Amino acid sequence: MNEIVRVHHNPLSALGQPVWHWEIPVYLFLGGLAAGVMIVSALLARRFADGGADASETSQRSPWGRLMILAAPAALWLGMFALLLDLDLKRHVLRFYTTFQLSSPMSWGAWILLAIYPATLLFGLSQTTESERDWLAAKLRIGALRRILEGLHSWAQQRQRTLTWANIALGVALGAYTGVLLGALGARALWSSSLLGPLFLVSGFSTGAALTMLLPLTHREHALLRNWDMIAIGVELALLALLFVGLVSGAQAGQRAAALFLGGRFTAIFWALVVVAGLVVPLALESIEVLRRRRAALVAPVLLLVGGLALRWILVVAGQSPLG
Amino acid sequence: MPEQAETTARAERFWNPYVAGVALGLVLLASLLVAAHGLGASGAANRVGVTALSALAPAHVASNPHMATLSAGGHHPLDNWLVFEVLGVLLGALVAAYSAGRLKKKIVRGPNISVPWRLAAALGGGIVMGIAARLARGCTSGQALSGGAMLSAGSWVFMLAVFAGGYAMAYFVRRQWR
Amino acid sequence: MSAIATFLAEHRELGLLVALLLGFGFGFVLERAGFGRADKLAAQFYGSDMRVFKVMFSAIVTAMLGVMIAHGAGVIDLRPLAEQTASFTWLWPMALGGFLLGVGFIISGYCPGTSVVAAASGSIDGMFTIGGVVIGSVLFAEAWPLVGDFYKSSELGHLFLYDVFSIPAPVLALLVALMAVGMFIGAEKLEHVLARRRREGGVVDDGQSRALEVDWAPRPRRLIFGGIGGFAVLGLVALAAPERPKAAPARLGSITQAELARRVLDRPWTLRVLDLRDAAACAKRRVPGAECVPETKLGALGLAYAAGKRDLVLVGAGDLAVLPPAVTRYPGKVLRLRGGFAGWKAYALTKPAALAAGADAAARAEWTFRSALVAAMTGRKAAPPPPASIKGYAPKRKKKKGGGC
Repeated sequence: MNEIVRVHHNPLSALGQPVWHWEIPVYLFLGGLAAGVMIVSALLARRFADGGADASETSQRSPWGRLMILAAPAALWLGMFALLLDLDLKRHVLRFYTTFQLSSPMSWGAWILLAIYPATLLFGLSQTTESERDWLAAKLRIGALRRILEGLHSWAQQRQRTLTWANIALGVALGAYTGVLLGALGARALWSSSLLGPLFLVSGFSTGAALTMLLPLTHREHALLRNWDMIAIGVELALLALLFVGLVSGAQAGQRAAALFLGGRFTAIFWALVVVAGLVVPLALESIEVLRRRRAALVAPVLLLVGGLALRWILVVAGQSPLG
Repeated sequence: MPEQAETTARAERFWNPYVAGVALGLVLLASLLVAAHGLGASGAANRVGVTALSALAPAHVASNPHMATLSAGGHHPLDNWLVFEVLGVLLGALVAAYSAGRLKKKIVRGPNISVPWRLAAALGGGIVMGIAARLARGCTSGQALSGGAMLSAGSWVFMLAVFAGGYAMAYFVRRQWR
Repeated sequence: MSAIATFLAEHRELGLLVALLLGFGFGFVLERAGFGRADKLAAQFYGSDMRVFKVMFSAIVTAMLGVMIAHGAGVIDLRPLAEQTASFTWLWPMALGGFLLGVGFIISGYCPGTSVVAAASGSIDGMFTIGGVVIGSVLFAEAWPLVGDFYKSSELGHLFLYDVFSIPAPVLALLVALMAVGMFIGAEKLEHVLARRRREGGVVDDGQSRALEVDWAPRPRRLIFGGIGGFAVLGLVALAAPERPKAAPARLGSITQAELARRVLDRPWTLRVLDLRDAAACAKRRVPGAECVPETKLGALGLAYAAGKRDLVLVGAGDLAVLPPAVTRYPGKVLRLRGGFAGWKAYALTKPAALAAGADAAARAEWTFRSALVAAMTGRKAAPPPPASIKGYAPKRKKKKGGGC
């Protein structure tokens, strides 16, 4: 009896014609970024909620840190716009919502995306102060808005715990989904690894923390984010190592896919941009910040964001390239 | 930026120039022995410029004999030893400056020159150096340092000319630095 | 080339990563040397701080002596390495380019490399200089029709100072090192004299640190001078070491038609066959897998820089009387085909004479092999001639055009 090996390389890509261009990596990056911002914001809110209501300096929050979660729906919206540009048949988008298939990650993803908007907006609203809501209502000049906002705010605040956990759960789902999506879309050896989900999730967390660290945060907020980020970078490096070990020790197609990064044509750019510039150097900078008590610099977060985009870009391009 | 409660240590001193020079020489030696390649800088700037230009006007770049050679061998102009090396320079200098407490947005200038003039001088001097480096097939890193260590006659001519040019011009731009 | 360099030349992508790491070290040291600060660099040209000169010459002397020692120890061969890493000498373009670079240096306060370091440490002026260098390079290319002739003028080929002065390279290196030490002492004296009337240097517009430079302790200076002296002695030892015979006799040999036939069929990847006859004859018929390289074009292959893992087989019309000089620097084995192509034709392309009755087993096996060989060689259509140039192993050529920097 012969075993049929289903892990193969898509013949379409063997022709050397990439099917996906910039839209998909940008979508994956922004999706991961949104997921990271959601998790990071929810975790931060939880940390500070524990501290109680005393007005000591360490429990102070910056407005940027509180409201950062609103960047998540914005990033997601941008990402979905990029995705829409990639779809040949734009009207088919609606079909994702008219059926639900348990076995299809794309179907799952479509519904996760839909749930994220209310979750993040409500969570963001629950974090606002009264003066901020006044400002928003005055700015929009809608009389009824003031009352609606107040109502939603008190509703959301009563369910703060639930909303926090919902945002963490949805963030994790979104972050992992951006990785699983690649494996579901094309039977490419490089993308079918089960580690891609966790890898993209951790990378998304790191980029979300990085984006937040670009803002003027309080000292404690920044220190918390930096410490989480350092752990995330360590985990990401370990996952990358596991990904390659898994590919090399697996089926032949996987070995050939790994060879693209271990001597093949993506070796230099991947290790230089993703691993060295995007992970190792930011980790070194953050370690120096802790060890030598340097003022935080914006460079480490910027490098993390560049590295996160490069990771997705190179994986998408490499997955479509002919195996060497 | 976060409001830091931590005390920020003062910027460290620079290394003793001879120590720094020997360290630099050892990096250069490693490059010559391990990679059989000298260190450089302006070649990468050239490739960046040509890449940017070819994004705007690809046909124009392809028709220029000087620029077309950069994508010889089927590689992208940026897929190059010097480009990766300069990326490393950027990262290495970043880590060094940050750990020494010198990473800070700043404009280095003499006491008697305004900021716009300083930036104009930086740009103008850069343009002159860009032309000069192409003419000489390298700059202070690639020609003077790497070629000089290999005792290339042209590199030593170049190096002496650099000092000559600097001293000759120094008088005329003294307002900028003094 | 050293063994590592050969390995990296064969693994391009790995070589690029090594470039990244070397660049990291380069940038780190440049920053720590103070080369990211325009005021420190410009001070060189006003005599108040000879830092640029000291750092550059200590670096050049260190690397130069290191290369000489590596040459003496047999790790590398000086001339091939020098020819690969240094550009040709174009006398006037380089002199003018150097002069202009010096002018641009004092105007901008940086050189192209240090502007990258300055930008990485946050200097806006450094970023402007990078932009200028990029624009200047493109302007030069745009002006190519005007400057192309001058650019290519006064080409002197690979020219090294030890050729110019006709002194052995290690001796010249020693002289350069001694001269550098003398100039260091002079620079210290000069600084000392000028220090009395030194005024405050530049300001740094970061709103905070103003006084940065404190004179460094004198002890490391002595240490470094001592170190350079020690290095120079090592260089002398390298010089005294006898020139090792590079062309070991075992590397040069010959190969019989039978051996070649078996290796071409069984292990073609261990061979690189070069057919030295004229192109027309070679294109018509040649040993399978052979490259048609007439003797005059051998130099273009860059055999001296090849990895040398494959054995080089040379096929002439008949027996090759003298080995062409270009192949003697090939690092691997060089084998001459006995009898040249004429011998090959008689052996592999002509049916063997019928076997005499009562031949022993060995002769029978030999005959069977030859018949099979002839059938395989003549029954097969000739493949189109492969291109003569070999990818990647002529780094000299590429280098000339791109510039070393």
